Amino acid sequence: MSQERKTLEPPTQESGGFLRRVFGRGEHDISAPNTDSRTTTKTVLDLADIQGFILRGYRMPIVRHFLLTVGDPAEARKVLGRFVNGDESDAPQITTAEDWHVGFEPGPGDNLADPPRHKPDYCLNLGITWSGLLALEIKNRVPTLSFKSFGAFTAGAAKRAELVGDTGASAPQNWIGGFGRGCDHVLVTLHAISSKAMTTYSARLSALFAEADAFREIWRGDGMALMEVRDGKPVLTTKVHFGYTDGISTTTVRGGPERYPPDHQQPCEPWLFVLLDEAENYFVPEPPELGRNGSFAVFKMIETDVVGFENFLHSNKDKIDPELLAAKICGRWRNGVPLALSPNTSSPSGGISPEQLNNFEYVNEDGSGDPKGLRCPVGAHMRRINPRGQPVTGQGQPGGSNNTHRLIRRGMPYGPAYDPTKPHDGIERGLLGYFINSSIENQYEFVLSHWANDSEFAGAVRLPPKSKDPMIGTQDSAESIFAIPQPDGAPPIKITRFSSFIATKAAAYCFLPSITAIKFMAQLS
Amino acid sequence: MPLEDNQIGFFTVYDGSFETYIADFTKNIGEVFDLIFKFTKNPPPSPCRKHLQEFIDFAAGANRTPIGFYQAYPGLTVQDIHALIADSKSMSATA
Repeated sequence: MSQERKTLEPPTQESGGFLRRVFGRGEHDISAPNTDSRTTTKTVLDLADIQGFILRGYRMPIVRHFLLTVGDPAEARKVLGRFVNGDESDAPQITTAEDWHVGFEPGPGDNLADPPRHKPDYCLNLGITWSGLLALEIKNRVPTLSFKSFGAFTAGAAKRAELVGDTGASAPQNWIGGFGRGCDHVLVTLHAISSKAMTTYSARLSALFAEADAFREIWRGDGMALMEVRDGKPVLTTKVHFGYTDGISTTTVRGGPERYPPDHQQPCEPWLFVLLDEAENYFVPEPPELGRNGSFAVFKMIETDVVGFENFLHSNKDKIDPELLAAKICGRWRNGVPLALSPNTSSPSGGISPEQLNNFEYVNEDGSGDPKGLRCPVGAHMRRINPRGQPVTGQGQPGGSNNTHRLIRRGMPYGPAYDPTKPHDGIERGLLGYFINSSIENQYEFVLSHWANDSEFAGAVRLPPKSKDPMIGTQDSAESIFAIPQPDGAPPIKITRFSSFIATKAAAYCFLPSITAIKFMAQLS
Repeated sequence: MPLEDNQIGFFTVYDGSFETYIADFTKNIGEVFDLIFKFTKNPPPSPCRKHLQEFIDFAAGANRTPIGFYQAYPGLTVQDIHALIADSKSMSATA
């Protein structure tokens, strides 16, 4: 999915260059909370208690996910506590949503005489499945434990797979590494600024996991920003394997710590992503010291069929130019320029600044704009995942924000960049990461089941019945269809015989505990 | 609508399944139900937006199948009707 992530490709004329500013030291500058001009309420978010990746994009080039199963529950709880004991020399510490310099400690490659930098060597976070909470004996030791509003979480990803289209090749019986089998207890995610830092902190973590048989590592998966050659030099990009520049559309949280370029959507209420008592549609898990300031996330490993996607584009070249079809399928040209702003070319005259690439609307309050999808098809991937101002069933007046079902995505590609000169290299490639939300039912599952894998939400006048997201939908080739509306009353171009271009390799529904919650679990006798 | 025997009826027409969009439904009108439930015997817990399943169960128990149902635009959803109206206005504006 290309809804959310991380960073724009910044202009190169600024000092420090792309790598230095995005992944490097010194130049990174995240504004203090509440400097967003659209933020109208004072933050109530306790950033020091909230895991960082809920509210921040780390913009680090490599990531490693460890899937753990609990060995000795008491020892496992102790290890969790060491991740938040404030003693970096004892254990790597969970990264919170506070600004980078807060709690920062020099890394192994640092010269202490150097000026302090604003970015740590690593970021560490963790999620716990319901089976993990049981294995850690939290339920046994906390009689008041309740996840009343979160039935999807307690059911687990495997039981909910069919609902979100994880069937066939994506079905749980085909998942790798113990996912969905009840031994997937804790996911630990380590972002690192360099391979050296990754090696260093991975080793420390592995040693901690194994101490007193606290945990057993049953799977690990690595992700890395894709490389491409520019001016003869390899550089890191924000692209994904299908070739699109990613991370342009970002979910702004009201009162959150990050400031994103403007768009037409209202900032999301923080309770959509952080478990807060003020939430309108759920009760914070109990006891409050366990639930408050936590969140939920769906971890997914998604294999992308790049060859199948490219072949499909070219197989329809008699109907539509392959690059235009690629743009219509996604909603953006592969360089990130949105069809809503430039429907006919990926390189509009005068250009579009990075800050403006997300600044558009599909349907304005007065009904004007692109209600029929002449620029960006109503069925395009990004218009399904985030319909913005388009009226949809259940909510939404023209020009509304449709924020109730928003997601925050923290993901990174795995596998090397696709080389079109070696299409059948036998290498698996895809995406690894989290979809973060407060309500898995009302956000992640709703988006996947009703917006990506159904068409009812927009009505049959706008979307062909039975049509699905052309990029990530779980397709039945025989009935699949993607309509590309044409101007002046001309009939739409109908693209058919889609295959599913992605396959779920692993999934886990995770609770993302607050720092307070981790300490609470750790002190249970 | 007031009915006999101190009962009130709530009439709603919607597309899709009730459960699918109940969260959005209560977002828009949940406070009205919460108010009505203050004067209702054996109400579901309030706020209904937070007690979705209880609200769904209560609504299902109170649901009555209509003896007749008139459709001005058979086969069209609300979104379809809105879209067709918008398109007709657009055509009128450009004519």
